[in-house]
Amino acid sequence: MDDAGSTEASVTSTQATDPSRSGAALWMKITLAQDLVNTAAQRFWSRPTLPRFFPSFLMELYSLVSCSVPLMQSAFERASELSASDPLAAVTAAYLEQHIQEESHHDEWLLNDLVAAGMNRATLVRRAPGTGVARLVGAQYCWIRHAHPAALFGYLAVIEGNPPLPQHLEEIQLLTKYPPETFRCLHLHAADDVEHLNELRSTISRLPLSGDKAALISMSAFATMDGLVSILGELTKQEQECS
Amino acid sequence: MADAQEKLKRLEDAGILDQRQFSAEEIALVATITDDEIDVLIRLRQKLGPPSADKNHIRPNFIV
Repeated sequence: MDDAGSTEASVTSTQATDPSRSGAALWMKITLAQDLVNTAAQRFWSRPTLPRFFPSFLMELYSLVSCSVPLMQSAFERASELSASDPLAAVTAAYLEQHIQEESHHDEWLLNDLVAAGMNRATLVRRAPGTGVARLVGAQYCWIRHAHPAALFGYLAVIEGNPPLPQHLEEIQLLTKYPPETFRCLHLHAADDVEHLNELRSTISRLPLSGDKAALISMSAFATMDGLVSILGELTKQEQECS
Repeated sequence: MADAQEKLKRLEDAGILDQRQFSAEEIALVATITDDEIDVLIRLRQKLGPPSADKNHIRPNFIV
């Protein structure tokens, strides 16, 4: 998260005043961050040694997915506390209430798929999230409690903003030689995420945003992008050190 | 408008934004990106290195 702190100055920005334009402008910034994640992820998937470190990726993925609903729950609770006098918090709470339902149990599905691939259930469940996931998710808890729960929109937009095509998952399966069962949850999630992304974009575009809240959400998006890139980079580095 | 053009040029020069991928309406929103935010995006882009020559990076591919 090297560059997350460097977005701090933008939090004090007060540029946008028209809410509809502000939401669209925010989405534009998020799109730019999404494109950078895509670049990093493509580089990751293109590595010829992918089969060797794919299990490590799956473990990180499981950590991230299992942290997601509790994180959203925390944001939902904080947004609900604020919602009576804060329209942005009210929209945040309404969105999260529905999205938590949509995302619930995905960690269990993924866990079942990883076990089907030969990974040990107890090891996966017992394993603490690594520093990369902790930094990524921990930053969100900080902003939820100490800034505004709407910050989570930046995280969600980047995390869910680039769902893979089924064809890409099939390519990864062929390359890694993992059984199709390993990819059941990923296929379902990828299909669902297209719809979720449309809902998220629609919600963000209509958020009643002040300039400082728009800057907070973009800071969250940029920090998430940086965190994801760091996780992919760390996995690659570990693989290089082992080879 | 000059400010927006300057921001657009900085983002394009850094390989962050390709005008061909965005509508004119979206491009107009570039003016709302603060200089600080552009600095952050450029730093992240530099950290990643140059974009690949192929077009695979425009295919959505982050798995969660």
